[in-house]
Amino acid sequence: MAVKSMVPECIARKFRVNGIVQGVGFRPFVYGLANRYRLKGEIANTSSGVSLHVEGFREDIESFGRDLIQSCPPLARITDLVTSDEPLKNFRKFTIAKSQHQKTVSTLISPDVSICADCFKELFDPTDRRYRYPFINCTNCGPRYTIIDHIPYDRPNTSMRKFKMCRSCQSEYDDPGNRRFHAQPNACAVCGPQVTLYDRAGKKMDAPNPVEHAAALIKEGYLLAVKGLGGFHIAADAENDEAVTRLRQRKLREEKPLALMSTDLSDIAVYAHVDAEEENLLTSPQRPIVLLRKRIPNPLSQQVSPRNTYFGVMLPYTPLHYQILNCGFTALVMTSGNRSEEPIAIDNDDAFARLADIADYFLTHDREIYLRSDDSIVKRTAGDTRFMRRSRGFVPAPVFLKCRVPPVLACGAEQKNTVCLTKGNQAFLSQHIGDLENLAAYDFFKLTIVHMQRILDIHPEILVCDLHPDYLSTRYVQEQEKGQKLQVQHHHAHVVSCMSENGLEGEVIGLAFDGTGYGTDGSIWGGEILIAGPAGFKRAASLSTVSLPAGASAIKEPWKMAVSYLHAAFGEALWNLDLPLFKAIDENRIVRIIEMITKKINSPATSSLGRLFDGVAAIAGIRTHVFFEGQAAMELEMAASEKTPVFYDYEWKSEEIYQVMVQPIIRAVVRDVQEGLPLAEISARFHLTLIRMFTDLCGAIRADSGLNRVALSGGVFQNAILLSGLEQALSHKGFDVYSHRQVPANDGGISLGQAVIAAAVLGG
Amino acid sequence: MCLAIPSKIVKIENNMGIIDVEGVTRETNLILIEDARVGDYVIVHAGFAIRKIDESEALESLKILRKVAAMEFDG
Repeated sequence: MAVKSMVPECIARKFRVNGIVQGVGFRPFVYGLANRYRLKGEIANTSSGVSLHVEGFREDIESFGRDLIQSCPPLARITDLVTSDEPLKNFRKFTIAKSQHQKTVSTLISPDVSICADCFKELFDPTDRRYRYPFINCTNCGPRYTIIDHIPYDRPNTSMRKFKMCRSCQSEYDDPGNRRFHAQPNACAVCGPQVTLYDRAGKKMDAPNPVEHAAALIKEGYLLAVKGLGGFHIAADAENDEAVTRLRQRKLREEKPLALMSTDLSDIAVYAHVDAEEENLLTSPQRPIVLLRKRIPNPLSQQVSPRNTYFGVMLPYTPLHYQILNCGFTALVMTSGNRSEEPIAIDNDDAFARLADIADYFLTHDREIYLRSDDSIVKRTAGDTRFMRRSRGFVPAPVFLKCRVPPVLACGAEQKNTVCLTKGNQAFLSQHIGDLENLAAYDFFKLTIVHMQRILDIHPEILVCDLHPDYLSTRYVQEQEKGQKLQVQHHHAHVVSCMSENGLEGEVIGLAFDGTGYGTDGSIWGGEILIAGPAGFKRAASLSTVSLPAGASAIKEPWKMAVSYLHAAFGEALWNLDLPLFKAIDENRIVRIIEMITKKINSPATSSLGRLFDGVAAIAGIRTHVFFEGQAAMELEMAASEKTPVFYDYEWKSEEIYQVMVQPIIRAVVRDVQEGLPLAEISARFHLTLIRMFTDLCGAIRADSGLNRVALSGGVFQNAILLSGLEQALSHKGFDVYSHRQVPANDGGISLGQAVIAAAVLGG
Repeated sequence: MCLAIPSKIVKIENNMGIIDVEGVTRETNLILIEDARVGDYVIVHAGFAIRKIDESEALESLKILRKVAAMEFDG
């Protein structure tokens, strides 16, 4: 019998596949499929999808084509498939070609992740080829956000591109069974980044083991600038009082607490109390700074966090940190490597230039940080984890919104600035940018906007900023040529920020308590109860206003606020009072402040609750001056005794809106101070008064409005007594109470509220 | 890049999930996805769960991946 057509024919065919076929495991899938049908050829990403060329028997190619459509990976969506016959090129195997320029990809970029247990084991295993290599990482850990320049998250788009993998690393990277399969920052001592030690003049030191050498220098009391994951830290031995004092002097940081890093939980237990939840936070892969109650006594320098009952503590999150700490420290001070108020340094030259006055030596490396990211700060309050600062480890994980919104860029406020970009139902908050009050911070702000737009592939149509005309973020939005623009009232943004992360729609009773925000009437708000929703708000209640004498200087000098409140409560009779304030401050200065208040010179009106805390703290004798915003209020909170049954009389006037009178509270505080009541009791009474008063007031507003949901937002809610007290009291009265868990209650969360408001107002 | 292997969440603790991939358990970070629950199937990319997927879809593609894997091991 003649054998006709029994010899299978070998052909070549091209497939052009469009749709969602990148970043979804499509190429490895095709690779497996091609091998299954013993096809040769190659697959490559193109700007609109993938293109593949296969050669093999006609039957096999046809089966391959069918499977390609029917069994593609779950995330892949083929929208268009074009095939054409091609001349044979005689490929010898099937390969995945290098990516061509890619435009559409999955835009979820992972946050930076602390070293994992497997890599940790390797780091200290003398038989491992990466023994003591400070840049160990794998698919489960290592840098991400801070080293990405472009999407997709492929090595050539990261700062690892300049390190060509050695053969051992490359074979791990290529092996689907390996922990380092496609781990973009994969490296080892042969091919990866290296650590170098420099003196303060920027001269390379002769140090065969730079990490141990650096640790020894810290032991001797020197201050070291250490390049980490999201920027430089300044490291000092936390037990060395002289070193920590020097760090404070050089960094011009008088009393603000300094962050600590310890090797493990047992070291932390030496100086701080840690409960199970705090332990989970400390050891989580995000490795935030956790505020922990101090153990008294403890072996650390008093200068680490003077007059504060808390330490800010984190565990190491990079292999380099572990190696330094392994040289025998109970704790290192690891404070941001910046000059006062400026952004954290990330670049080696930048660090030499800006930190030379602070650090004695520099331990740096040659893996570039593309986007700086400070350490995140959290605290367990009222049964939940609360962000003080949301940054490294969490950014850019999205906050999920209740509905889809158009692309918005929200530029945040002035203090603790963050920006927010939206895409679909996701809101991406930036890392902590800082206070936009100097050019360096403003540059960082602009850089972050550009960078995030690029790596998240978001092209905002709506731009939003604060109502305050003088904020740099406001000016930035005004200067942009394209896009619809909106200015949002500060406290409205606060309330909606809280609503958004809790998935609330409609209207709520919003308690927005903070230091300063520009009001719609041009006065300075800060103790507001709003009836608010994403589409708008009205003011329901507010603290009665007092003067903010000498404007912003009253924020740094709470005694001026105290005089303002005393004048409001007692008039000229304030001179008869017996308060510590009058001994601490020169009489002439008080006279001058009163003059400013009565003549309304440079004394805007404020309804700020933050300032009321400051004023009460100064009246109670806690402090007349602060070194950082909110210090007096914080110390007043920390002074409070556990509980008191006593609270002060309070009253409000029902006018156009409810006016909460501050005078009776001030008079009661003054009475207690004059009677010599302990500070702990006065503070507890003051807190209880606020809790009862605002709970009652919410009751009145509920009766008027029919609203039963209360959202708590604003920096004052970092106060644990007020937050947990109000949550309890309001819940007890049948309110549904919502507070912040995903973004900070302070101005760091403002950009989220701005974005959602803009989407509601302009997006419809 | 990811392999897009559907993985089942078997335990959740503080945004970290234990996932089960064909009997092998691994840790994965859940902060990039919304409302992760035990029993959900997710796609994991570089240590992070990046998407939730439908159970039937997951089981179907696991079946396919198993086949592909079997082919590869068969040589």
